[in-house]
Amino acid sequence: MQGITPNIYVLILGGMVTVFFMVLTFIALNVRGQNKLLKQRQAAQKAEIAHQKELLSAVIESQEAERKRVGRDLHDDVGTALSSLRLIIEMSKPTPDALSHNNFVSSTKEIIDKVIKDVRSISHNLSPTTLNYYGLTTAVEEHCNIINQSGKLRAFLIDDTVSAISKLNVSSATAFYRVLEELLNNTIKHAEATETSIKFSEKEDTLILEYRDNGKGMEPNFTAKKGMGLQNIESRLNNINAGYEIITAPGKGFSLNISYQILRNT
Amino acid sequence: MEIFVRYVSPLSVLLPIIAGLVYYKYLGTAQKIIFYYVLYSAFSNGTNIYMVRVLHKTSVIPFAVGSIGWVALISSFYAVVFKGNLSRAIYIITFLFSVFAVTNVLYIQTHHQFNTYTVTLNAIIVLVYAMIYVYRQNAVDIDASWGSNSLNWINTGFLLYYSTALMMYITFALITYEIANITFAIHNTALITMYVLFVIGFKKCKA
Repeated sequence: MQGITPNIYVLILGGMVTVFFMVLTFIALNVRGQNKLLKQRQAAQKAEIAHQKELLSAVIESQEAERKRVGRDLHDDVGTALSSLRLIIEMSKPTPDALSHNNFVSSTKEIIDKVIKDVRSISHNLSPTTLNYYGLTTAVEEHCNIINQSGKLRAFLIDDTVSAISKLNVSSATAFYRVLEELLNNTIKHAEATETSIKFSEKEDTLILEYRDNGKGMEPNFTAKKGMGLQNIESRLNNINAGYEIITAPGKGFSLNISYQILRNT
Repeated sequence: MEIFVRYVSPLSVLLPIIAGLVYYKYLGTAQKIIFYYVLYSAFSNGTNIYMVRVLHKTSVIPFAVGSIGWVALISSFYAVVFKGNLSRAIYIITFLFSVFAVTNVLYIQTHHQFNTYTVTLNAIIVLVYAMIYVYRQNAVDIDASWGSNSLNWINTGFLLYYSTALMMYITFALITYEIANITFAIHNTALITMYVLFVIGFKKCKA
């Protein structure tokens, strides 16, 4: 018993000191873990804010680009045509000659027709009337027809929906139309594609849009250097709470699958 | 070492009392409970020291009654911090502990012995609260650094002190006169650490 007693003292004192330092270590590790988590969360928040800023600046830039385009179209097409018309009217002199009178009438009519066509084209680009009057499918079909007529690209539209598209509200339909417009624009400008397909389908209350082209595709890690067009697409889809997935690889074309829950968002 | 045990550590209770008075207007309900806990500890320990050193009467009554007060105040602190169902459970635990503490002093260890059962259970209860606090802190999304939360410092104080004290309470029957001083020195170091952490906790309320 005499031999055991000093060991008990050591155990008691050692135990107290050990417990004290064990708790200290536990707290230190816990503090470190919590602060590390906080830093990670703050970094994620910063990244999210930066991303939102990028999206916002893309929206502003695209608005600015749109204004410039409308201004240029008005100046170059409508403005020039109206100046020509003014010049023709100014130059015309009363003459009994029927031929020159007919020439004057046909020239002015031609210019007025061109102005009407240009104004229609500009206003269509600003707000597609077909979309408002006849719905998304017809508007997309019309856009595809214009592209097909240009001969640069063959665009196909497949609509397998029953009622999903008709349930879309105006803002969602406009977002879908603008996204498709942007996608087709990107395909024409960058993809070097010959064909593209747009397919609408529905599953329960979800509208599914599949966009594909047979162009040169992109690197799968393209997200780091997204262009304004893609940022615009992302911004519009986020705005209507649509889910999306981009599938692309060099030489494998570009695909974008969008799923949109109609009941939740209408 | 004797000076440390007899004078320094009992007087260290003044640190959180002064800090509590200085920062009182900034303290939340939970921190105010801790301030009252510190005042209660000072009163309880002061009474004991007065009885032993001035009246030369050894009594464990202040400890027996003291434990109930300590558990009640610490439970109130955690009830305020936890809220909801857990706080209801804490009040039930406090009631059961009080019943046990009275039964222990009347029938089990009586007032001639140091109430090791009560103080051991007291320490275990506080450690359970403190661990639940740590668990809940890790489960929620934090939006500020660990150090900026006043409650974290106070909880750490409880964890450090009561884990060390628990070891002493469990082995109290084995502590002889030769090692009493060094044992109490370790115990009091943990106690001073807790008070210092309370001071930091009170100070954090101002920020």
